[in-house]
Amino acid sequence: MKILRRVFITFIITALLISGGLFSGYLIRPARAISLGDILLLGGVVLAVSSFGGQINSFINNVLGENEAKAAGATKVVPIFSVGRGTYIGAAQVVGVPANVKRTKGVAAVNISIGNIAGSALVPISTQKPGGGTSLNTVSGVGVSAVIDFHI
Amino acid sequence: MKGLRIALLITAVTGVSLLISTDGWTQGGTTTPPPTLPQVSARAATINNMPVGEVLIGDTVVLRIHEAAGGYTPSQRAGVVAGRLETALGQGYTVNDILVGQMNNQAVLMMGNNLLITADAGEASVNNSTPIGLATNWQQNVMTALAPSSTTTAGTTTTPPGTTTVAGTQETWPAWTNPTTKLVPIISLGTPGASLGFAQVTGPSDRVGQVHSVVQVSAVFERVARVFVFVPSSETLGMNRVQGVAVTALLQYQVFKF
Repeated sequence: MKILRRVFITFIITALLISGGLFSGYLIRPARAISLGDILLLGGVVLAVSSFGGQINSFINNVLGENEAKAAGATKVVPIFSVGRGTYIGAAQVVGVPANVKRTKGVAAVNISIGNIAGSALVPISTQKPGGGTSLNTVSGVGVSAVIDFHI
Repeated sequence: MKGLRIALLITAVTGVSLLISTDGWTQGGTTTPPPTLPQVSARAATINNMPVGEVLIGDTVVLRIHEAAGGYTPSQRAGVVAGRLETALGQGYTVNDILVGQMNNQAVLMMGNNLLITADAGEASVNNSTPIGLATNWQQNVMTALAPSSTTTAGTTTTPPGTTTVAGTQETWPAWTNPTTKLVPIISLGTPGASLGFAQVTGPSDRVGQVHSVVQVSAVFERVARVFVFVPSSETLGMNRVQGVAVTALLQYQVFKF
């Protein structure tokens, strides 16, 4: 009787070990770093740019470096604010002399559509959103070198 | 009693199995390798028989701290500064984010919004400088150490920010003192879909005059962002970057769908 009980307990232990190992893979998700996609879902473009702007900037510079086309100026990734829609629509890498790039906090996009043709004026600004009234708080001496579309 | 013992046994076994599976979970999870960051460190040194703390980026000493402050020795302060710098770099700040500012009426060196170190009067005095002068000096040291370096036949040279080596020649980004604009065609490389369009480029008139097209390069970042890079080129059908010129407007046929 005692032997039978021991065999039974051993069987239970083995079964639990195997099932625990098998099912934990389904119950517990693998650990992973917070991705750009997660940040976009949680906090939108501005948070994504503030969290991943540096990495995106380096990524773009590396792409250009591989093509021997790296910009000589300072670069930075900032959010694009659509003046017409009143919302953030993506991000842009701006390029220019370091002092002016440092001042740049966003890019204001003025979009015009005529049929299938779309035009966008991209204006680097010293605020994340354009200022009130007629002022855009533009930063002179800075242009756009890349546009980042988050809607893949 | 027997039932209780079996219940305890089952509980213990379940715990053990979970621990085993946790190990597997850690090993099985896909982790993204951290981006390569500049190596930041701190060390204690002695100069003129005085203990100092040094902050290094790679092998370059970028800050030397002579004074104790806030209950910290110079070398402990160097350790704190190195930690702050490392954290800021880990957050994605780059050479362009090294700033000299003022906090509580004191000159400070910052990286983005992160305080790195206060340039106090005592430290400035040791360096025969003013607090702002010392902070600016530190800023230059950090920027130089973080700026991309290039290897030449004579050895390794470090280029200052705003300067880069392109196709073997060192070029700088000029200030736009008298900017002009020009409309040029966009040549697309690797962009999906239609990409007929024009770009307005802006820059100094002599540079803008060299631009004959804008080459558009497309790449995907982390599977959630498509990056469209615009390179003003001096060739109509090739990529030969004209430095100092950037895009200020796009006119395209159904390429961007923001």
